[in-house]
Formats: sequence, structure tokens, C-alpha cells
Amino acid sequence: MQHNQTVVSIIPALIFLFPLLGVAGTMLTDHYRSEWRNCVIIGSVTLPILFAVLLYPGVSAGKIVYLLIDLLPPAGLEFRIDLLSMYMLLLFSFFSLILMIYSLGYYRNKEEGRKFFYFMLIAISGCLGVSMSGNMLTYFLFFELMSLSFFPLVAYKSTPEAYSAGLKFFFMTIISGVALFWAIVITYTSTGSLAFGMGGLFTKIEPIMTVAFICYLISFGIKSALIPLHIWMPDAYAAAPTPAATLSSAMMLKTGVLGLIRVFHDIFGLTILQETGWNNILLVLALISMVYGSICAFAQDDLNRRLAYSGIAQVGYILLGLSLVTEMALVGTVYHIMAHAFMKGCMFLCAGVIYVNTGKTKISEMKGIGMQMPVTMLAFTVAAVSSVGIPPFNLFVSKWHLGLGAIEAGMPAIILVLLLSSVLNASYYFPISINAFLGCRELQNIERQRLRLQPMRMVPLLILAAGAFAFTIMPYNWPLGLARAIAQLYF
Amino acid sequence: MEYEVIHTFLPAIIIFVPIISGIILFFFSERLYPYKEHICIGVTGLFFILVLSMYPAISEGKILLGIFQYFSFPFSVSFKVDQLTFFLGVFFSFVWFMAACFSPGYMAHEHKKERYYAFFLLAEGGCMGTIFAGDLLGLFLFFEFMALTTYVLIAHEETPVTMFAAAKYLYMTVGGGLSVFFGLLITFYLTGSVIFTRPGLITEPSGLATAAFIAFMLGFGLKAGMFPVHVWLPDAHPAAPSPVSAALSGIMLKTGIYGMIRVIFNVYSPDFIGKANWDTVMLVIAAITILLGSAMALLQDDLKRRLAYSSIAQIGYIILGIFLLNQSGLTGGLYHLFTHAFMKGLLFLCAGAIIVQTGIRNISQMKGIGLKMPLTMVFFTIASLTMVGIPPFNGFISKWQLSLASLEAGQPVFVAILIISSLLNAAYYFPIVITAFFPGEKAAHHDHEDTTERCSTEDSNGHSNLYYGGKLNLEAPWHMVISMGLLAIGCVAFALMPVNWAWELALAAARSLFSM
Repeated sequence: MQHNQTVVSIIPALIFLFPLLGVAGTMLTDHYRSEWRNCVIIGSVTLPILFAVLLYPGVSAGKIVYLLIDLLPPAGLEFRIDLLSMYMLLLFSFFSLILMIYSLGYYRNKEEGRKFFYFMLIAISGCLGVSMSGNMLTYFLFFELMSLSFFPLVAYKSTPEAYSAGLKFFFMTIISGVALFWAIVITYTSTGSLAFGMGGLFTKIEPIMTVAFICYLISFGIKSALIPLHIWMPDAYAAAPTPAATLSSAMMLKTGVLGLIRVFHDIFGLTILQETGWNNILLVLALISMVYGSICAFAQDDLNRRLAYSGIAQVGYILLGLSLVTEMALVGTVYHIMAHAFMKGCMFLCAGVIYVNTGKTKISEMKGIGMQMPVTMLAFTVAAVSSVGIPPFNLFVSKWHLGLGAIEAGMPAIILVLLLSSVLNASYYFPISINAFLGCRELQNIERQRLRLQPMRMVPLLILAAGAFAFTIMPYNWPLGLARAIAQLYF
Repeated sequence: MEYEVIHTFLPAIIIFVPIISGIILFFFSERLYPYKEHICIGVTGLFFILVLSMYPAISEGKILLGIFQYFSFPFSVSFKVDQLTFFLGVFFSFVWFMAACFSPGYMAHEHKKERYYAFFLLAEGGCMGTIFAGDLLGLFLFFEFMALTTYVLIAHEETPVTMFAAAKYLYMTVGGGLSVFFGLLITFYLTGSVIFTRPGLITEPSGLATAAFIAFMLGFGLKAGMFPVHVWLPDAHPAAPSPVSAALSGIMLKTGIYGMIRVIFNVYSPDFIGKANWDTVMLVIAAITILLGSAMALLQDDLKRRLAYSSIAQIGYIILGIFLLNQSGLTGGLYHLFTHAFMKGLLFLCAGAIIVQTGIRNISQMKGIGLKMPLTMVFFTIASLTMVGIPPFNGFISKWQLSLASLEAGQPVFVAILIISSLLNAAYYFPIVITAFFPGEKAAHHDHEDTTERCSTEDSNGHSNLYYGGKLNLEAPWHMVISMGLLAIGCVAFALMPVNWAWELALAAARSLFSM
């Protein structure tokens, strides 16, 4: 498939500006017209998704939406929406809407959550910008915007743990930024360009490229919590308010993955990777992530921490597909980005609902919680079952393609690691669901009164739970179609 | 022999009847609470009738096929009723129906009945979907659905012991499911298709083909209770409520067998497996399964545990039959599959009746129970005789056929194993029956005290309002007796008829699989 047509449009700039304008609007309404605040917040994340949908027909027909603003020398502020960007943009804008609705339900008290929304909106703007960027420098800009605004979100609860987790995150982010800076400098000096979409900027193998590759790997590896760069993540997730943790899990991790996809396919290009075999570095790290994350998840009693470690394992799946460099595996990767966002997003939102309603964060305290909130725990159960990767859930589709990709790459043994990780998934998620509903017949000291459902929290949660199987039971699996088209472009 | 294919959505619709009614019952449990038993029995009965309604088409040698294009994970699934699946479907749905009829009596004093009935229907839908699926993906989908919904049924009583047994079942079954997934993936990679066709999909021997075969056998064997991966079974069966044990042992184990049959005939082919010598390995495993199951059953004192080990042995017979890879072996295996569904379902229902009426689980306490529950123990006796393989009963026909097939395949050693196992069967079933009807005088007295004690503790818990003193007839209520009675008739009736309908169906199924 060839891209013939480039459409210059102002829409990409608008999309990332809306949340930023939303920040200003929220600040103003907070002071003068507080009854309008919620409308402004929702509006500033609804408009991006509307504009993204507006762009979709053109992009899916093979056009590229392009915008160059001559602001950021040497490469310029460049937006370029191809299919992959479109896919990520739709995912991110959808999740930002879901998350903002949920945050409004999470912080019912306006004063308590006042600043939270400012930083959420900035981080969302950063994520949207990352997904649309057309060169590495623009990517870097929005990547930093997103990362830095996430620091106050981690530390938002203002407890000592939250501060230390925030600091840990902050320093890792700085390392990530510096590494990315280095990598960009090397890339620019040796190739003279930073643009995406050329199918590989490097043309011949130079020793300095190794440094660039490693820097990219460190930078995006930190963001996507690749072993051994994951250390910020469990602390940050346990400390951060749930919507922020969800934002990170569903969107920010994926920007790291998107960055690596860009590095693999747009900066270095397939031929160089295959000659040097650098993808094997990522392959090994991804495999370790899958197993190590799953095993660590066992040992956690804090629900958010368990979800965080499980996220490390899931990112391992995603990067595994990328590092196998086969078409099927890339389909699996791209699809898993979506599948993981829905599954993990749903679980995080459940954890948040449990925390807000009962104040519980420890799994051992959650025995019989299904009596109090059956709907929430049912949604959690759906997500837990989907994590095992059985049909009709999303994760079946992504594991299916990852498995096919592994056989295509001549390494069927990798499937066994995939399956091992799936069994581990089951064995650390199922007990939560089981203890919530079953085995509490004789327990005396648990609450059995059902709690009232709060629509602002429950609706996003139920949408995500339904998303775990909504696409696969349709006659046409729309994200899978997109993922296949994306993979076709690259191979 | 060519079979005419009719495109119809009937199989797909049939599957979704119990699933949708189960979901409705689950979500509207408060409103539907008074009607839960009626819904459950009604839907399982309707299901049986719907399956039966396909008989005219099947008997004319047609195949019903419905390609269900409303799913796309990553390709659509299809539903297919051919001679084999009709044979399995009609008898399995009958046993489900009987287990449903038995449930109200057994569950009378249990908690959370609405959840039980909802998941009972879901599990039935999953089980029947496994059988009616027309490709491996659909089979896998419903196989997992059944496995997960069954978990809730097994864990129903929610005591720590039950929860442990159910968790063991759950994790092993998830592992088994993923093993099937592995096989499915390789099959798709090698052939680009997962639809059941004949001859089989994989025709070239390769390392991947071997790996897939091992994965399939582990996954399906785990569900069936095959020797190295049977360990969940003896715990899960006693833990579950008795109607569920009946369904679990009588029917759900057979979905594993069904998966194996599909793997032999539609994924590979009998010739391929014969050339690769995989059948020898599987026959050895089958022999071990038979002997181990029978021997372990002898050692058990818990009645349901003994029945569970006996199931393992019987599954060994069926695996033996299908891996002899000839038509008479397959016929024998299929007929035994049907026989076992009826007799083991009946035995578990009898055990359930005993537990509900007296609270006794251990065989050593059952002396003289035949005098208190005569009908139940008569049915138990019929099932035991079937199990041992005495002539007028079904079990005789299947063992006869299996022995013939072993000789045909030139493996007389399996006849010896069948005979040894039958003797062991007799050794662990007949003492129960004999002491039930003829307790020694002293033993009866001892038992008397024992039972009284037991009943009084039951009383204090409020689970049972029966007391032993002065009341000699503890017979189960009529609706339980009827469901047991119908299964007991099923154990004898087919063999006494001038034309053995079940035999004809099994023969047609085996013929359809071997006609390529």
C-alpha cells in the first residue's frame, strides 16, 4: 500500500491544543463560574475525539494528514498522522474522555481534585501530541510535556510515600529525557533528518548507531517499564490516584511502545535491524519482563501494585511482538496495545472504585467485597478472564497473532513463555475475583450491604469491561483490521 | 459415502438457548427467584427436545452446518451437527436434563440456588457448544466457557475443602485450555485453517505437528481425566454438588474425549497417527489409566471419591477404544461413552440421594442402607452391574465390542486388561451393594448408632430435618427417584430392544468418521 496523497490540515494542532485550552478554561471557571467547570473539562476532551473521528475516513483511505509549524529548529514542529498515529490517536482520545469522566466521579469534592484536573489535561495533551508527531523532535517535546506533568499526579496525595514515588518517577523521567536527547542528537548528526515515514533514516551501519539505539531503548524502555527500567512503576501506581495510574497504564506506557515502534521501523528500518540483530536485545528483555512481571505480581498484596507488575508483563507481550519483526507479530503488538488498555484500564478503575467506596487497597482485605459491590467485581472478573487469553476476549486475538508471529520467526518455544505467563496471569487475578464472591459463606465480619452505584464511576468502568469483548464479537473486528493495515504498511 | 450438507442456523440457535436463559437467570435472579427450578428444568428439557428434533435429518445421512458470521475473533466460528455430534448431543442433553430434574431435591437446603441454576444452564450451553462446534476455534471457545462456568458449580458449597478442590480444578483446566490453544495455533500456522474436514488438516509429519499433538492430548486429556493429568478429578468430583458431579463425570469428561476424536480424525488422520506410532503411546497411557483408576477406586472410602476414580478407569476404556484406530474400536469407545454417561450419572445421583437423605458419605457407614432407601440402592445396583459388564446391560455390549476390536487390532493384551479391570470394578462396587442390602446383624446395630449420631448433628446444623429413630424409610422424594429411574432404564432398555437404537447411532457415527 502506497501513500500517495498528503493533506495539510490544521486539525492536528487543534487536537493537542484543546486539552491545553481546557486547562485555562478549567482554571477560569474554577474561579468565576464553578458550575461550568465540569462541562469545560468534558468538552476539552470530547473535541479531540470528534476531530480524530473527522480525520479517520481520510487516513483509512490511505491519505496522510500533515502539518508543519516552523517553530522548533532544526526539525520543526511537525505533525503527521498515518494509520498507526490514527490508531493511537483514537485510542488515546477515547481513553482521555473515559478517564476524565471517571476522574469527575473519583474526585467528587471540587477542592480536593482541583489541581488534579489541570495536570491530567496537560498529560492528555502530551499523549495526544505524541501520537500525532511527525518527527522525533516533536515526539520528544510532547513526551517530556506528558512525563513532567505526570510527576504532580503521582505525588498528588501528598503523603511521604507519594512524594518518594514521585521523586523516583521524576529522576527516571529525567534519565529518559536525557537519553532521548542524546539519541536524537546522534540521529540528527549522522543522518540530517528526524522525520518519520521514510522507512529508515540510517542507510549504513556506523558504530555510533549502537549508542543511539541503546539510548532510545533506555528512554522508551523507562516509559514502557521494560525490565530492568521498571522500578518507578509499582511505587508510582500504588501512590498515584487511580485515574492517574490508569492514564499511565493505558496511555503513557503506550507512548513508550509507540516510540519503540517508530525507532524500529522509521528511524533504523528493518534492514539495519536484521543485519545487526539488535532486535534480539529487546526480545530477551521482553521475555524477561513477561515472566518476571508475572512472578512479582504474585507477591504483591496491594492491588495497584499487583496491577503494576502485571502491566510490566503485558508490556513484555507488546514489545515481544515488536522485537520478533514479523508481520503477524506486529499485528499482535498493535492489537495488544488496545487490548491491554481496555483490560488494565478496567481493572484500575475497579481498584479505584473499591478504594473510593471502602478505602481498601490490600487484596487480603477484599474478601467478600463482591457482596458490597457486585457490579464492580463482575467487571473486574470479566477483565481477569480476558487476561488469560481465551476467546471471545481481545487478548485471545493478540496472543493468537503473537504466537503466529513467533512461529513465523522460527521460535515456537516463545509461545511456551507466552502460555506460562498466561497461566500466571490467571493465578494472580482469579483469586481476587474468587475471594470477592465465593468462600465467604461462613465469614462473620464482612459487610453484605450493597453499596449505591455512582454513575460517573460506573459508566466508564462498564464501557471498558464491555470493550474487552465488544470488538471480537462483531462481524468485522475493526481494530484488528486497522492493525493488519498498519503491519502491511511496514512489511 | 457422501453426506449431504444442509445450511441451517438450528445448531447455533440451540446452543444459545441455555446460554441466554442462564444469563437472564443470573442477572434477573431476584425477580425470577421463585421460578428458577422451573426455568432450569424447562430449558434443559427443551434443549433435549430440540436436539432430538434433528434426528430425521441426521438419520437420512445429512449434516447440519451453520456458519456463524457474527463473531470475528479472528475468524468466524461454525456449528455443525453430524452423525457423531448428534449421537453425543442427544444422550448428553438427556443426562443434563435428568441432572436438572434431580437438582431441586438435592439443592433444597443449599444456599444461592439462583446462582447454581444459572451456572448450570451456562455450563450446559458450554458443554453442548463444545460438541456442536464445527471448527477447532469454536470448540476451544465453548470448551473454555464450560470450564470456567463449571468452576462456580464445583465451588458451590464454599467450604474451605471445596474451594481448594475447585481452585485445583480451575488452574489445571486453565493450563489445559492454554495447551489446546498452543495446538490450535500450530495447526493454524501449518495449515491455515481450523475447520474440521476430512481427511485431516495436517498431513506432513514435522516437529511442530508432534508438539501440537502432545499439546492437544495434554489439554483434552486433562479435561477427560487421562492418567498423568487426572489429579484434579478425584478432588473436584466429591466437592461438587451431586447433580454437578453427575454432569461433570457423565458428560463433561467426555468433551475431552470428543476433542481427542476430532484431533485424530479431523486434525490429523488415523493413518498419520498410526504411521507416527503415537497410537501406541496413547494405548499404553490408556492401559495405565484403566488399571490405576480401578486400583485407586478400591482404596477409597468416600463413595463419591470412589466413583471419581472409577470414572478415570472408564475414561481409559474409551481412550483405548478410539486409539485402536479401527472402526469397531471406535464404535466400542463411542458406545461406552454413552454407557458411561448414563451409568456414572446414575451412580452420582444415587450418591447424592444418599447424602441428602442420610448425610452419609462414607461407604463404611452404608451398611443396611438398602433397607432404608430401597429404590435408590436398586438403581445403584443396576448401575454397578452395568459397570461390571453383565450381559443384559449396556456395559456388556461396549466391553464386548472393545475386546473384539483389541483382537482385531492384534493386541490381545488389552482384553486381559479389560477383564482385570472388570474384576476390580466388581470388587469395588459389589461390596457396597451387598452390605447395603445384607448388613450383618451386629454391623447393622453399630451402624444404627452411627447414623443416629450423624443425623442428630445434622439436625443441630439445621441442614436436615430427618431423624433416624423409628423411621425406617428414608427413600428419596419422587422427583429424585424418577430422574434416577429414567437413567437406570437407559442402562438396560437399549440392550433389550430388538433394535439397539444407541448402537445404531454409534455405528453410524463411527462409519461417518471412517468414510473418507
